[in-house]
Amino acid sequence: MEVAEAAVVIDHDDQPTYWHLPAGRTAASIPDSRDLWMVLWNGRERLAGVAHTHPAGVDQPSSIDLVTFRACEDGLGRRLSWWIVTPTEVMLCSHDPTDPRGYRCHPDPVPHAWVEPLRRHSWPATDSSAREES
Amino acid sequence: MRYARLNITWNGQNGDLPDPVSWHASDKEILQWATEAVRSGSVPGITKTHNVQLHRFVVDRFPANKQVPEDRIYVRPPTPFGAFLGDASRGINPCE
Ligand SMILES: [Zn+2]
Repeated sequence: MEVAEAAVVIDHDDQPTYWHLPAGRTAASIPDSRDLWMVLWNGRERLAGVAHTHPAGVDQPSSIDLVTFRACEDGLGRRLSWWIVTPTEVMLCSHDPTDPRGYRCHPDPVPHAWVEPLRRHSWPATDSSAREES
Repeated sequence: MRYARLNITWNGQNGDLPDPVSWHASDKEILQWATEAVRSGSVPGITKTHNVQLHRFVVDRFPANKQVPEDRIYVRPPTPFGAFLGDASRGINPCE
């Protein structure tokens, strides 16, 4: 499989509700999508946040990510959790007016069940993880 | 002149502008009108908000069809993600 960023929508019970794997995603980007926005809007009452991958391992949001975080929260009228999943880390970003970017990211110690499936949608399983699954 | 109904999503609310807008207006014009409409409280369903920020939002256009017999324009938040810090040059953010 091609390495490509992937995203998933997470609800208040920490359950994945929508796997966002659109055409046109690359190892460094996921294109704008009205479909994803409609998922967030229609599911807003139970929406906790959105996780997306950074296959290259960058553990901080890009400028594009930050615009998306802010705009979606503005549209929904409330704050969300924004996870960034790299091959080795899970970062949780949330609004923080004391950060110059408006968002601060910390390693997330919670063992979310959706993290490994999200990684599998983003890059091939490593030898060790393939063995675990077999 | 071709006109469209303009729908705006902001702050957990959603509403149509009472007056139609030009279908051929630029995205920048649409976003400016939407901003002014929310600021002035003229969108039914959306509370008047002074510090509304829509300049990074996206404009979707849908021609009339059998189900929806009028042209529709929607202003909504963008949803792209990008992995490179500071990189807005790849055409994946329609607002840049
Ligand atoms: Zn990102």
